[in-house]
Amino acid sequence: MAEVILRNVKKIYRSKRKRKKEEVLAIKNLNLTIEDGEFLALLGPSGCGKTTTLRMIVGLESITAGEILIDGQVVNDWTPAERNVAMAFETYALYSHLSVRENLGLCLKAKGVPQDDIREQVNQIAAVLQITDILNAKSSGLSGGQQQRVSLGRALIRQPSVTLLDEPLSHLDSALRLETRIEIKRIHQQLKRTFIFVTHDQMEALALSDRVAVMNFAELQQVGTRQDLFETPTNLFVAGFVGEPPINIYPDSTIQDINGDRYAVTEKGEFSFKLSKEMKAVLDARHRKTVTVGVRPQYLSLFPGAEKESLAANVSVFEFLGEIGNLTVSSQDLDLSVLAPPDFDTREEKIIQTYYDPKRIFLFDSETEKNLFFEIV
Amino acid sequence: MTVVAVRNVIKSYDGAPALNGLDFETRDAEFFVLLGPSGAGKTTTLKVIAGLEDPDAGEVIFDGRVINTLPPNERPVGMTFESYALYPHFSVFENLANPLRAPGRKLPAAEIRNRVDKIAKMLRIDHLYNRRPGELSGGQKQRVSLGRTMIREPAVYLMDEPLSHVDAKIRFDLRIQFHRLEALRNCTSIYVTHDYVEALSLGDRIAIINTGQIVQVGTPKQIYYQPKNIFVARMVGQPHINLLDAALTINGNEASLRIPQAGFSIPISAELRQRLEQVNVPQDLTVGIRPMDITINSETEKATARVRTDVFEPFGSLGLLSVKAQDIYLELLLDPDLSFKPDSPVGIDFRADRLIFFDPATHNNLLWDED
Repeated sequence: MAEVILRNVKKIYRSKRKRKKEEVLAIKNLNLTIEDGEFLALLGPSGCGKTTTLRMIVGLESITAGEILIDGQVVNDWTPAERNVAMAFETYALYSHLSVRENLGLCLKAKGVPQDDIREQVNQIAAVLQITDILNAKSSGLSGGQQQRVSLGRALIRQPSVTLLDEPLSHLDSALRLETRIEIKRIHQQLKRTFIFVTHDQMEALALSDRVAVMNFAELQQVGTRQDLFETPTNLFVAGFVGEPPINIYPDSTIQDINGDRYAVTEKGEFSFKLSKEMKAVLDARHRKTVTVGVRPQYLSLFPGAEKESLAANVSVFEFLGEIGNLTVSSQDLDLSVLAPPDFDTREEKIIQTYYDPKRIFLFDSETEKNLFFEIV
Repeated sequence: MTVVAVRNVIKSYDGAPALNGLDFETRDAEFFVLLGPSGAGKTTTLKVIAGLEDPDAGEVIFDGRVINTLPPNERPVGMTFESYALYPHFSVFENLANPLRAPGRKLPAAEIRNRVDKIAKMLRIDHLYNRRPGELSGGQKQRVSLGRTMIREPAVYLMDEPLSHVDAKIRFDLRIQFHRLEALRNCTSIYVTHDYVEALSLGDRIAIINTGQIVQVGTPKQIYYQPKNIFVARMVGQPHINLLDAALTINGNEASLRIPQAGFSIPISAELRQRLEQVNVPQDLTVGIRPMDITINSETEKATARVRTDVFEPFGSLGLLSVKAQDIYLELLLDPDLSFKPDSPVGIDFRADRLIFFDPATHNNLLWDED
């Protein structure tokens, strides 16, 4: 069992600058459980507290308040070595004068593991990471991708109960990044150990992990699967940070009744989105007039199907992007981006119907930016 | 209204070749994208066109006129840079107005104001006049930088990776703006990028550049669906195109591609077989198939190939499934809402009309034809 629990964890950095005490709140009050064998991503913009969280788990940072539990034991006062947690760093941190084999075997050697066993374990991990052919090379001569794998191998060979990865893909070019990403996921599937991964790249977080913990301004915003974050974002930040092409956002929209149905209408009346019965009930209980509307391009369609409602808008820009297409339609000067098939042909039409499911129109509180639907649930 | 031609340009820096007989021609008012990896010669090309670098050999031609000896300030070009190139101590307004205040121009203040207003409104930066560059976001800086170029009303825009330093959401937004800016769309623009998504989105035509030479020029769809060689095929698309060693197998009337490492065969139509025979394809081929063009067949027994799932990565709009077929991995792009158990059997089919056939020795597309 390698379950990690963060209970009411708080982190304040204190420093003295020009004899003035300064305090920076790095983690507000974090409650998060990472299950045994789970792959969890900590996602957020720079400065959100994600790396601090990782460093607190590994024991490189003390915590100001709260508890960290690994395998059910409070580890607040344990040294990093005692925690049996391994971390692969963004900067590979390899010994450049040692060979790949020596870099990989170093921590086992320090533990006094017999030579033959070290050899065996290094061979095993090298096979998993596909670095067998470079075991005798000096680490200084390796490519970025190879160094990254060796760094990862060194973290994994200790057979830690928890493996922490700090932006392990950030220094790779895009082709190698994708390859290594698949490799990391494969390794996790094989080893079934607890992995915690820090990234600012939403696509990487979604692709790799079982669940994503989205952080911003020292606070956990939401933790959930891809589906949770896509379908039920708790607030405007999560809705905007996760998803590409980005969600369409319309602040200052108003709630209006039209022919007995309830609609969210954008500021100057450009777009009207019909709302679901469930949302209507929420609004009746809350009496909101002004809201921020959010509509994901992925939940809009150019073909009638399960999406029952539609709106008409002018065809503005179509982009063929290879794997997907992006159609921007507009009404007056307001844009709506719609995910389209790459070979969608818009040359003939000037006005086009866009279909949507009212259940997938998000409304956010104009002040708190919280998803109104969940405020009362 | 300008056609830009670059003819056999050679340029080296201290003996290291940067451009090796670079040759292309834009059309009038075309948005022409140069796409290539770093070090391919993209920025050098722009500098040679702008007159910031002299070619060792070859010609730069504007509307039929060789302009090699024309100094940069006399060329009707405007260039934007990857690193914005704004004056940090000037306000946004002054940064925009500055190109009009060049010595010898002597424009009246009212006209300068008018022209700045017009450009700033178009770029939606007119509310930022009093700010300094240090107070702007990356996207705003890039729009000011573009505004500085536009205000001179050049006949040719040269743009060097203008979106590479802005975050994903702003990049998305600016890409749409680039489509809409009349000033850009009515002029000839040469736009340099290493990002295939930008290239496919913006380019009327794309020129793929590598080691200082043009590899292929074509519309986005030509580049994506009919790459001239493996280099071009791998330059666009994420994940990369799947490349498989294949043997063309003819058995009576039936033709198929045997994939020895994967242990299955892909049947091909009589028409495709005929086309392959017409160009005398070698028996051993490299077959390319894009991840979008492999589909799951829910009736596993009827599928072209039975393979095992490896990993599934759902992200924004698509999900990437990696499958193992005997000794090799294939990558598929699917609906992100699907889910797959690792190491379970799954049937796959191939869109045979989307297969691309490469010569394993030369890497050239065997069915490629110039038009």
